[in-house]
Amino acid sequence: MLIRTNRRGVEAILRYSIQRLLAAIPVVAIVALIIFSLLFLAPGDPAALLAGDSATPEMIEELRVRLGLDQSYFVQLRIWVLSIFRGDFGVSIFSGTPVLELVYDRIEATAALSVVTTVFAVLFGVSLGMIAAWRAGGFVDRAVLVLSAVFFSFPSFVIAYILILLFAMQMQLLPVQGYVSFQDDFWGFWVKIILPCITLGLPFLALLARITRTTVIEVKREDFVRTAVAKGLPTNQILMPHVMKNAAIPIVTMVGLGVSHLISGVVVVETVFAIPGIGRLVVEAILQRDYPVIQCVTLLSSFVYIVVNMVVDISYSFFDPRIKR
Amino acid sequence: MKLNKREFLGLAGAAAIIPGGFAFAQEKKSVLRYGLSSLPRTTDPHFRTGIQVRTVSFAVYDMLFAVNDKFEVTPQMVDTWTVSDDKMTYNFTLRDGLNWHDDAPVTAEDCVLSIRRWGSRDQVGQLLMEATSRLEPTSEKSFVLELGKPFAFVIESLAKPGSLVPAMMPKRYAETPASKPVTDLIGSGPFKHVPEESRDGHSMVFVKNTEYVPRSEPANWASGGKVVNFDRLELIEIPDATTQLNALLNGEIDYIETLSSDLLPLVEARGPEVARITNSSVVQLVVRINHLQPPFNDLKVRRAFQLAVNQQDVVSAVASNPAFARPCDAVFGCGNQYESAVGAPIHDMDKALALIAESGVDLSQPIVQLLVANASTLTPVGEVMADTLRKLGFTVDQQIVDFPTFSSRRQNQGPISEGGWNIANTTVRTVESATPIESRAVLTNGTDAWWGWPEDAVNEDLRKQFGEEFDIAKRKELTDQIQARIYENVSYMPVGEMLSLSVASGRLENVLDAPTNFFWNISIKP
Amino acid sequence: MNALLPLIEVKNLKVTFHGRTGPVLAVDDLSFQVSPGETLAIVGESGCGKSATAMSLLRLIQPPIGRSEGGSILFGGKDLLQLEYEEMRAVRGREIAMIFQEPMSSLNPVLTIGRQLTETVRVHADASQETSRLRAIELLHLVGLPDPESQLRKYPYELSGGMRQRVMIAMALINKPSLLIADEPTTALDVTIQAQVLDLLSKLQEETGTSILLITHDLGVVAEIAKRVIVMYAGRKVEEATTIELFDNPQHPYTRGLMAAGPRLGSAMADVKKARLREISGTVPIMNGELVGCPFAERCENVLDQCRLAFPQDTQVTETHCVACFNPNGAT
Ligand SMILES: Nc1ncnc2c1ncn2[C@@H]1O[C@H](COP(=O)(O)OP(=O)(O)O)[C@@H](O)[C@H]1O
Ligand SMILES: [Mg+2]
Repeated sequence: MLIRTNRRGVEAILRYSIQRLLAAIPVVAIVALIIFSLLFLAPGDPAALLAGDSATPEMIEELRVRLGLDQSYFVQLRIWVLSIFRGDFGVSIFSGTPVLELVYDRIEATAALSVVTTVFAVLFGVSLGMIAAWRAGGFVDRAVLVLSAVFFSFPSFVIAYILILLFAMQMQLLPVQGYVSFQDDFWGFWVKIILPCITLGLPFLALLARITRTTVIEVKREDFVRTAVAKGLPTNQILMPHVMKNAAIPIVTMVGLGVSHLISGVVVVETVFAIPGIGRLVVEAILQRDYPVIQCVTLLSSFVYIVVNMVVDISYSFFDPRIKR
Repeated sequence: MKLNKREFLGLAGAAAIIPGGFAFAQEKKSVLRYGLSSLPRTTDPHFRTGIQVRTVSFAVYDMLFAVNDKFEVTPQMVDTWTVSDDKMTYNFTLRDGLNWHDDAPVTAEDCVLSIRRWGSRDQVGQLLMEATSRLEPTSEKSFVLELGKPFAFVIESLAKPGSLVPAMMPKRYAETPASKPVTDLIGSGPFKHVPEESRDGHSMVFVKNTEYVPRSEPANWASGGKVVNFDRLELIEIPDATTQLNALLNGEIDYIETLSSDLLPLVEARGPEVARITNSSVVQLVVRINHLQPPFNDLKVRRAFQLAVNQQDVVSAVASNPAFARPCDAVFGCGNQYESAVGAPIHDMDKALALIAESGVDLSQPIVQLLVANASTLTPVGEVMADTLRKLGFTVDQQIVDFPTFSSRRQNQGPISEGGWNIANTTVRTVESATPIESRAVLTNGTDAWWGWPEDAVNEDLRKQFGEEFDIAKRKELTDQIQARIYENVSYMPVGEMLSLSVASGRLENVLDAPTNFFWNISIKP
Repeated sequence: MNALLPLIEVKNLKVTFHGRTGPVLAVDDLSFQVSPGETLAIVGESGCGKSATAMSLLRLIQPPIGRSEGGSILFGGKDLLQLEYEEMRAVRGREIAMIFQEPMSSLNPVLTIGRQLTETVRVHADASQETSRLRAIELLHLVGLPDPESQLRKYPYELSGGMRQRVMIAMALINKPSLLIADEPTTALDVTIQAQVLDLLSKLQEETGTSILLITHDLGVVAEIAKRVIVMYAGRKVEEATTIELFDNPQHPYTRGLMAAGPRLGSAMADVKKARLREISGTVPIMNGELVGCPFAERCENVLDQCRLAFPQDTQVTETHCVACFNPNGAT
């Protein structure tokens, strides 16, 4: 009986996800078209950049022809769309490597950074928010309020330099920079990812702590919490699941927003800590007008954005049975 | 809390001086880790200029000839060579023991094709190819080069230390057109590339080429014996300058390509046993004015501007520390073999204003300046130029652009109304502009010249004479004449020099003081 | 007084809320006791401190909202006000259970009925999932919910108000508490449902022998199930009697006012509000410490000068009936 209900639930979620993804296709297509057009209109010519400072106009023109940049907007658009349908995202203008290969090489670092950061921020942000709310006005509460204001207003490179100074330069506990895949060196992975994740995670954590605090304080006033206390439930059971399941929706919404915004924070962190991630790849590509790379990463990030939103939406119905899809 | 990056660096720097304990990096035996702001995306030395491409190509590829720190040419891959009395026929024989990294032996055919490929793209190479009537192998190990018209720089060309570097490649790469970059890195030089261990955006890994037979002469720049004293070389991309230095001070890397000028005090504070400046390359600060469009099509206006520029202003704008920048009147680089002060303008504002009045230029027409935004060198130099123009009575329309936009807009020869420009500035490494034939900046063949398109037949003729001159003393005379002519016509405007400093950790010894970072000769203290 | 040892004995209870504008004295010097198996009702207008009394028995009023001070609450030989947190937690939901006024919001909206019932069992006993589930089904059956097994999987929003209050009752009784506090259990319900729930409560009391402290503003409800009544006004006990004595011979002018206003059992909430104390004008004062004397003085028809100077002592009318009034009979 129970199992059947679950299976039905899983089927519903699957069906819903597929619907959402299909509905997202036009959005992604429009994003792609806008990006393509903006890049076409943007000043700057990758051929001139690639050819270098001392190149003659003939060399530049030769490159333009070879790269197909001399074609009209519609011809280029058609070529691009057709190749995407074949699963071909083109070749980087600068390195000559297929874009998918480049993205594949870089995605692991960014994914690892984002996942570890999110877990870190959610774990500590939500716990701190919970403690702060449960003892509103207490020491933890005041500390959380002050610290979250601090972390939120500090630019992340400042946080990064302070962390490097303390943990790498003075205490010699952690390395200054670098990245290693966890498959290659599990321990090294963690040692190197700690500071970047804290840097990236602190503002996120601060945000989550605040939103958790506010929400929990609100939920705490609800009658059913009084019921739970009157039943003799211990504090941890009152918080989890009674309070937290009710507080989950604003928190999960904020987590979703935070994750979608990580991509912008990721650039600074990847730069300061020399992590070979997507953020740096795309910034570099923009600075070099490496169109195929920019286009692929943009598509990828709009897809990630859509999936994150979808997961957040699906989780709503998990946290609140009253929300029907 | 608003703290800008520079202020913060000051704070961070003050605290970073406290000496650290043990080095963090795992002490694997004899690895040299070299930090640079960006790994080269294209490594084809016949295709792309730039210091990173050069760094990689000197490590991986070898050359027929090489220059030392006095710009004297010595054979490198070549064993013996002869020149006919009329200086029109050259015969080269390769030395023994040369092998490509894929184990095939280096043949004369490989070299001939490599010269042709490089010669199709490089400015000096093109001159060489124009003069060459025959270039072909005569045996497995030797080849002949016959000139159809006089050219005095055959050997110098093949030893060229600046981009595009005449690196030797195996036949299968040398056969491809130079407009299509080679993506593999297979040469015959002292380091072998390990693509499997390299990671885009993170590191490029090389191992010592144990098959490599160095020459017996001591190493001096790229000439002499390229003896490698460690097993593995890692080029590590660290985009942030502060992180680079922190990583060096923490023992995570050993050698930094370019030190940001505001970080020099941190290096000096630690003392030479921790880190020290080992070598530098010189960057010329260059202003380009558009000779095709008014007002700079008027020689009087050009001269007025040249007199109004004060190099001291430029130098103090790009670096507060005098170790990083200096005034320099030499068109072919201070410290280079053709350094000279001949014909240099002496800053004189009164004369400049008088010339402007005399020229009758329409001061109401604004000067369009292409100014690269947020660039540590280009932006301040551009601002000084704008100020100088304003002092002359011009109004300046500063068009702030990013580098890609700049790279394409500067190609526009048209009038202002069609997106053209009047003034812009850039930098040139003096290792690449040390002679009148290598420097693209000193061309004066009008619309075929470098952007700015100066036209001056006299200078072109002097350059041609230089290309045919074998006598060292006469060459020097000619470059002095060229420089005088350039200043007379205001064909080229160097406005100062900046040093780009490399820093090595105290563990490295015998680092060669060269304008490109070479990894041979270095030994690592355990 | 009952010869039996009281189940719970409240002595001189004082409850203060830390309101925005300063402390509010919600309950002042309140003493009463409940015997085993007995139903005691507390009546009074809205805002006179009934809920505050009920909640302080479970120590649900804690800083920063407010606190219970002075006096004692003796229960099973212990003073509840002195218990450690964990000891108190063992009493909550186990020895003393409570049904709240608001069935709509007193159940957790995002957890199943089953989960909310079973956790109440398991927090106090080392019961398996299955045992507690069976117990939950048993209780839902007892409170008269159809198809208890399928109710377990439902969420509160899938139930009507009356059903939810039945679930609340089931949850309160699931650990067989010796005292059940029911704070206006029917106020928020439809008229027809009100009667059903009251019937259920009295039926369950007969079956389980639980003592009930019934809190209501409705004298009709009192008449229905309580044996004894306490009348509260502005945090003070003004009259205490058996139900029969109170209805036969109300002493306090406030009690008489309540009776005159008292709607019969079964009238709807709206009617109650409209009909409230039509005999007495004015509202319950907020006790912020400025008031001396009898708080009812302002509204009282029998008021004497001394009423404004001090609160009257309890006067025994009979052995089981006492009143706190200087002038119950309206002498002038
Ligand atoms: N949380 C609170 N903060 C401040 N005052 C309160 C609070 N709850 C109740 N009160 C005050 O305490 C008094 C008694 O309230 P309550 O016990 O709820 O009355 P009843 O249940 O009899 O309607 C009222 O004057 C009310 O305004
Ligand atoms: Mg109440």
